[in-house]
Amino acid sequence: MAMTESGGSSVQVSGVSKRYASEQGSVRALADVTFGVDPGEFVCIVGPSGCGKTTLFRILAGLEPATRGQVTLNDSVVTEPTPNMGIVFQEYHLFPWRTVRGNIAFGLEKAVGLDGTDRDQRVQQLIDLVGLAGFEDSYPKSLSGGMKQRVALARALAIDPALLLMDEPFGAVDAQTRERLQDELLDIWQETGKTILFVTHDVEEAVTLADRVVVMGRDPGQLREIVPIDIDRPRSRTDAAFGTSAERVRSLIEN
Amino acid sequence: MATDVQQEPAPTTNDGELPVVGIDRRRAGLGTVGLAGFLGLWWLAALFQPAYVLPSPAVVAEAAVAEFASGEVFVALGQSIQHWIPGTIIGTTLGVAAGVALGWSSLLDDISSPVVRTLRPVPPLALIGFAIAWFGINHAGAAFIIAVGAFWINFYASYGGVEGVSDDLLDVARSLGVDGDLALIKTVVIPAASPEIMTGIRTGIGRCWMLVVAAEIFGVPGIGRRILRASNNLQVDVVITYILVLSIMFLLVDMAYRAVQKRVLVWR
Repeated sequence: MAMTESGGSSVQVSGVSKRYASEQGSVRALADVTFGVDPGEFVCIVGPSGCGKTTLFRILAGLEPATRGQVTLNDSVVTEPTPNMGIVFQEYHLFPWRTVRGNIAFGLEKAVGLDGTDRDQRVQQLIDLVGLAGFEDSYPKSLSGGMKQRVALARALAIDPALLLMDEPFGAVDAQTRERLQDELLDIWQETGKTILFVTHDVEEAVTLADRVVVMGRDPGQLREIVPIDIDRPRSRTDAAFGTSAERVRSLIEN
Repeated sequence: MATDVQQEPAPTTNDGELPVVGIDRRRAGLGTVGLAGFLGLWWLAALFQPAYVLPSPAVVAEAAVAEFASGEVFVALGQSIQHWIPGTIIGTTLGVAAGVALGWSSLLDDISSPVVRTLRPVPPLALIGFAIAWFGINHAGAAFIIAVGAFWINFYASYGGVEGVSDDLLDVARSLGVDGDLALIKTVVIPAASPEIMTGIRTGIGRCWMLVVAAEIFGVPGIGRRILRASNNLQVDVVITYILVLSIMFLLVDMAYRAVQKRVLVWR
């Protein structure tokens, strides 16, 4: 792939807390969460529903402000969504009125210093990268869930962000497609060198993908521990080391 | 990794074509039966009534032939179109623009809310005095009445459409570098709301044909004027002729619009 990529960026989450106002007073969603991500690292945030991981994702993406603390991306504070990060949601959120090509090109249309031919070339490269050749002119309504998520991923990659932020991106596809998408994402990660922050509730998924797993527990908003996964890729779920890591993450969530 | 895409369910292009044709044929057949039944009942009822109460279809057909042959129909149609077209276009444009603006900006919405709520229940016909005072008894005056009708329909359709635009799509657009209200409105809000906006335009176009008759009440020439004059002369056959002309115009314009709508909204 002859794509020029900008490589990954570092992320620092410093003392991030979030409280929501409710009728019973304020409710804690995140309590003093701190961790760092190195450039090019693949980090998964895992935890049960209601643990605050989606809130953390939204703060990381600049979609919501933190009550206290801050997120920095390459030393600049994140306050709103920026083209320095590509965001991929569980529900795809494709633009239904645009074709596959149109969705992927969306972020490039205002890009400076990119003429039409360069843009078309980049879009075609991304279509090939996510394996959607032949579906360029299809509308989202006619795509399967797995294909929609490939479009969403290509669309996020198009603007060449240094960080990919993904919120349970494979949560809405069947198990078989999910494993294939995980493999593809790892390929793309290795090819592009992006930093990836990936939110999931699936322990196996986190252990399959991540360099390190940020574990959040059942008590809302608490970071339990950061578990490094020192297993060579490609990883096999039947591997003993895989089982040990998964068990470790699971016990941290439960206790 | 390109090879494994095919294993997923293949995208469907469209529903089966043949059954659709079958349903269309069935509908056309039943429609013909319904129309014939209606004409039969009309004829039967007309047998026992004088022509100034209810003329038979044959009498109406005679009147229609006479109106077409004399060219009266085309003259009246040409006159009505001269206020229908500008009225519809101006009212639709302003209505969509205002609906999008107020649907998007809660600031504008809050500022204009009292005025909007006061003006909304005013029927276009109540504004005839203004039409005459501001524009005179002419096409511009009638176009004003028609435009008012088109405005509100399009205003509310667009407003609702914009309110329904998903915040998630806006978040995605922001994360892809779209910045500022105007850019978001252009790239996300209007396309996302286009189904509602286009339905509003369609409803508005139909409404404007009805308003053509009303807008001509104060003396502007056209189909509505012909209907009112024929009514005063108890020429019910002529009244029905012009009603049919209006219906046919509405059907033709609506069909053309639906074809455009289908093309624009092919992604749905």
